[in-house]
Amino acid sequence: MAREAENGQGIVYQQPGAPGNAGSIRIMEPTPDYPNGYFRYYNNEGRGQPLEVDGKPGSPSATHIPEDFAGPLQGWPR
Amino acid sequence: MSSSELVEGADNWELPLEGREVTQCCVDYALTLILGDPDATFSLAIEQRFWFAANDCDAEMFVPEGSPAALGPPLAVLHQSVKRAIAYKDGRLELEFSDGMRLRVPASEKFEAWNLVGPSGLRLVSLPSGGLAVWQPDSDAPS
Repeated sequence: MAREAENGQGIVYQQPGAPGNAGSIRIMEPTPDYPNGYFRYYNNEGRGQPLEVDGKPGSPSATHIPEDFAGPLQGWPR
Repeated sequence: MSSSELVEGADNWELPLEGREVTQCCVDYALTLILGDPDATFSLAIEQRFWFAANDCDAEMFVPEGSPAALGPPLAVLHQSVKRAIAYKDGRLELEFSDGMRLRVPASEKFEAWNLVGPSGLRLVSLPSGGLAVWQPDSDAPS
């Protein structure tokens, strides 16, 4: 299920009925530090933890992934 | 409080957290507060530095991805009810609790400082370098 932010700043795809951020990927518009945009994706633990590219929960610096990241993305699709 | 609607002001959104109790505090690389009840649960993930003040004390700064042991004082919000919750359109967040505790999260230059997810697809994200992304509740979305 996809939903776009009302101010066009991002779009989130999430499993229907999943709590919080669990099982979601959120793709965001460019910012000064992410000129091509960035995305964040979450596991299904509790209400969802943001994941690094290797599929492990990580720090903010490792879980804001530039949109031009070429992969692979270990934790997605779930 | 039963509404999950956001109320827009000139420079802010009033969040539908008034009267809702913090039922869980979770710590990983963020401090996540779970609020509400099974019918309307909200999760507020604070990922960047924030200021917390207990009652009449001066505010102290805390860093969620730092030492978990250092996050002790803000855990005092567990079982407290929110008196007022405001998200500013520049990305700041301010929470006041019924017993006078206050929590303030500034926007971050590089990362999302906080995000709130609630029923029916409600979602707010404090954007890197400031600003908010807002998903209003959608009656067609699952709670």
